[in-house]
Amino acid sequence: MNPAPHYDFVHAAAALIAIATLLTELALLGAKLVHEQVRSYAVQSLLAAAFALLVGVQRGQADLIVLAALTVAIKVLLIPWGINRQLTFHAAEHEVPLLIKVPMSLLIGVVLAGFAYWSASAIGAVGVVLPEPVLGMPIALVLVGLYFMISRQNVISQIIGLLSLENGIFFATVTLAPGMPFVVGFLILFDVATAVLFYGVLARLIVARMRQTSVLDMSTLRG
Amino acid sequence: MRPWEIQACQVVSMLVFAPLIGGVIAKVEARIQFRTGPSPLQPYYDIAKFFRKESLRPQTASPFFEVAPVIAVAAYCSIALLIPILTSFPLPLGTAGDILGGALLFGLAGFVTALAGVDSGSVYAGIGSSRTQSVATLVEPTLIFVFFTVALVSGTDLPYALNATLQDSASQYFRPSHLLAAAAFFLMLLVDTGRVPIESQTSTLEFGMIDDARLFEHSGPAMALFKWASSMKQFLLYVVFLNVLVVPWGLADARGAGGVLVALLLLLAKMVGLGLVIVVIESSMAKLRLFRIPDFMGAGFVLSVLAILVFYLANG
Amino acid sequence: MGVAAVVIVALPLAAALVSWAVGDRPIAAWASLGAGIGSLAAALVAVFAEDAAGGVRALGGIVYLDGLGGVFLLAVAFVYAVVAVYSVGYLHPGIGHVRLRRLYWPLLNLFGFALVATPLVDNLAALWVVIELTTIVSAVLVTAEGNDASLEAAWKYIVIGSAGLAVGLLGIVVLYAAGTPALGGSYDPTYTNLAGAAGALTPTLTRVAFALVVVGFGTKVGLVPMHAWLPDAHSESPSPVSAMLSGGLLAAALYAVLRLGAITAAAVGPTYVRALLLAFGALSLLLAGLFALRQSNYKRLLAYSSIEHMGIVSLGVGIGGPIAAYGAFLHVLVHAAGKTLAFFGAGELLSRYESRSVDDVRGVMRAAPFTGVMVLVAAIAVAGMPPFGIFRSELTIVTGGFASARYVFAGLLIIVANVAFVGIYRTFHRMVLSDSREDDDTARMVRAQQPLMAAAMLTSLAVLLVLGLWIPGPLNELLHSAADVIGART
Repeated sequence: MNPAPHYDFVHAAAALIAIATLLTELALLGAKLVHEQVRSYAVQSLLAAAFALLVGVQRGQADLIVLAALTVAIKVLLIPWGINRQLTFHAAEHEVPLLIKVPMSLLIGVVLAGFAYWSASAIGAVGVVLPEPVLGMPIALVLVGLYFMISRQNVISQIIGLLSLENGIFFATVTLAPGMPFVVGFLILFDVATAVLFYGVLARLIVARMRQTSVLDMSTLRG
Repeated sequence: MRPWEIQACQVVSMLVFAPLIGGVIAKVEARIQFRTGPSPLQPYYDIAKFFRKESLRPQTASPFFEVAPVIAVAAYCSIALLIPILTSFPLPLGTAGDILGGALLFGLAGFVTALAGVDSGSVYAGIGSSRTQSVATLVEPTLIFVFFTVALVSGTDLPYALNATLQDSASQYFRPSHLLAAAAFFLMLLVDTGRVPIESQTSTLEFGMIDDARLFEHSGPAMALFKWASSMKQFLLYVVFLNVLVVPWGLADARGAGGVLVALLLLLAKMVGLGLVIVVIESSMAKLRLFRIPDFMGAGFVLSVLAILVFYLANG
Repeated sequence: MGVAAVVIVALPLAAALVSWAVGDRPIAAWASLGAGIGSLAAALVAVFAEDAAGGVRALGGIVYLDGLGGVFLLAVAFVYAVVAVYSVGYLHPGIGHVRLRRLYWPLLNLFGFALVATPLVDNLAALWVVIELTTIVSAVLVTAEGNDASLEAAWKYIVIGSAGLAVGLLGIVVLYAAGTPALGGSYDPTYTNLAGAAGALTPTLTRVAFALVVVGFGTKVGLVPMHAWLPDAHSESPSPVSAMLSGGLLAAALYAVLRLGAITAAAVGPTYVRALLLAFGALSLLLAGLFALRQSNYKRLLAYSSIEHMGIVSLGVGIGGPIAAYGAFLHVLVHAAGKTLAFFGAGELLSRYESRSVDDVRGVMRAAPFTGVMVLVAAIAVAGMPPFGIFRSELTIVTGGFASARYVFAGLLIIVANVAFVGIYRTFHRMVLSDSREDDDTARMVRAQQPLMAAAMLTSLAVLLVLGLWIPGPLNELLHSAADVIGART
């Protein structure tokens, strides 16, 4: 019998958020429609905000709480709204062509998540008070996010993959370095928002000029 | 009450209340959809009606065709001995089989039903049998992983011990691997009890049927037994899901008759609660196309694998 | 030092604002040109007159400049200045094909701002933010020609580049975590803090952090196998932007890798850092050298040459020892001069022949002798022939390789440098010294030379030539101190 680590409320909640986040990431992998992907991302961001709030309250850090509020405003509301608006604006094809079928993708996602947990335990992050299920999750988000970007040949899906990868880094920051100055977190969030704005403009240009959102047909440049 | 009396109570309460669950779900679902719907007791009427009818056997079928429903009911009655339906302490036969033994009995019941369907020689029953068995091959790996996970979490694979472990420790209860396993089991529960998004119970379209198609050639008491067995399967799966995995509280701790009665009422209440969740799912989702079912199974499998991974790699 | 630092970053920022405010008018161009040159002058003052070699901190710890930062500051400020000068000519009607005229100057200046800020900031998080800014700004600049191919290149660039930077950010977060046992839960991730506590950083986390940083920022350096965006972005952007990407952006990203490498080396010893840099450097050198042989697009050819040169710098630092590291830092400077010259030349070819294909460009020497000479000299210099600076830096790295008994890597550098010479020189020889084709529109070929474009090219050429023949004393000192910062002596 493997004794359960003793969890207090914060640890149990953190572990649950971590696992729920992992599930949203897998839901992202399983989603064929772009707006489903956006929804998974929004839920994931909400979990990220909840996590920051939890750690902020536990450590008594007001900056993390503010960061959580900003995360809700930008990543749960603003970005998904913007992407959905783009989708309706262009009436672009909403089902993403898949190079790898969904069940296979999910399995690859699980393998990547397993690798992430294994590597997290191999690194043995020291000086972290949060329970073990939390530690591998950011790495899993980064790896699965990268895989998502590679396997989805659609400009908007690729943005979503990048954003969820960035969520992984958000979790990593709150887990590993919750004391990182607020300015840093704010700058990063701001940077992400700006980046998304630019990507949105570019995606719009691509759609407008090429009448498509798939990057499969973008194959002029080779070698 | 003496232990064997309680044990008998477990089997009897299953036999008595199993059809009620499906009836209540159908009623609530109908009300939600602004229909009057059948009475909650409708399954009982159906079973009673079939018992009064004549039992016919196709010329091509072997005697097994009529034995099958009896074996199925017997298998489900045996399972009722193994799992904590009413009490949290093990009854005399409660340790006669572990959770895998229970799974094998479920498998046996499904297998004889499918075999009887093939035996009938009817094309539709054959399709039903082949579909249920294909679905079962997809469900089984997930269930195995779920059982492994809960066994790992509690260090035992006896359903009573699992119940005791979870009841005692909130840490064990909130372990991510336990919750993931419970979620995976819930998805498989939808599959095994023939609910949306896998199968619609109200459908009369042969091509969309999976479980019910097997029974096309049965009639009379054999049909009644199969209908009854099918409701028992649902009852037992709900018990496993509720009493072993999700709500391990509210069972009788002592042998008093009053405690057992309270436990029975609580169990029925829990089942109605679960039934409401299923009604919501049935009313808000569409049935998946047959060829999309593997995607759904994939999701369940992923959950169960993740449960094991998290357990081993993150001590979750 | 404080004043100089403020001038370095404030001028591009001011020019960006002015050019954004006035729109597509000559004053935007002249403001940018002034900002570029002024910023370079201030950088020279900051590095040499105020003696940055020993490490100077200013403005309450926001700005930090030492030998390592100094070398890269000179490189990026130089690139920004000559690109600003060249752009004034390139944006003249009928020369370059820049469609995004309204945004070109503000973005170019913002790009310049981010580049010159990179070696100045004294904070890992700020370092990441300015490098991310370069991605956003330069991705839009890549699309400035406004055709489908440039959109495709820009998309590839931001997707791959941002993913890489995200991994790099993860590396910074992990390094921060490595510092928490020594520095407390909440501290400023400045170089000073981290370098001061280097001995107490958690070794495993530090190693992981550096590996993430090499992969992450290495994506923007263009190290193989994270280089997929680089040839496209370099070939599809307007030539001055290509020059800025090649000479400035790659160097800025490499600076981030080396800055974190310096901290890692101080924490866990230089062997680990060198091993990673050697592996990626050798791979980039080898594959880019081979890919360069089979390019039929001269801008892509130069892009692969850029990857090769970044590989050479990584290799030089990876070999370790003061000589090879000295050579590597010299290479950063001469690469900046060489690649600006080469891409400026490519811009001339593109504006005259309107094709990126080697086969379409014939008889440059006859049609436009000045361009022909410049392009040919650029090819010789970039391919690593004497008397130009790139020959000198590569020779120094090879010497350092033999001195540190890294014979395999020194040998690899010699072989690939020769293969690349064949590939690059053969291609440019064919374009410049062949006969003109019958159907060429000679009127366009012989259009007058734009004086500012010529001036930019001559400046780059002069720097290449001077550094090939003579290293000024203060620069010599700066290069040595840069080698010291990354622990080349240990």
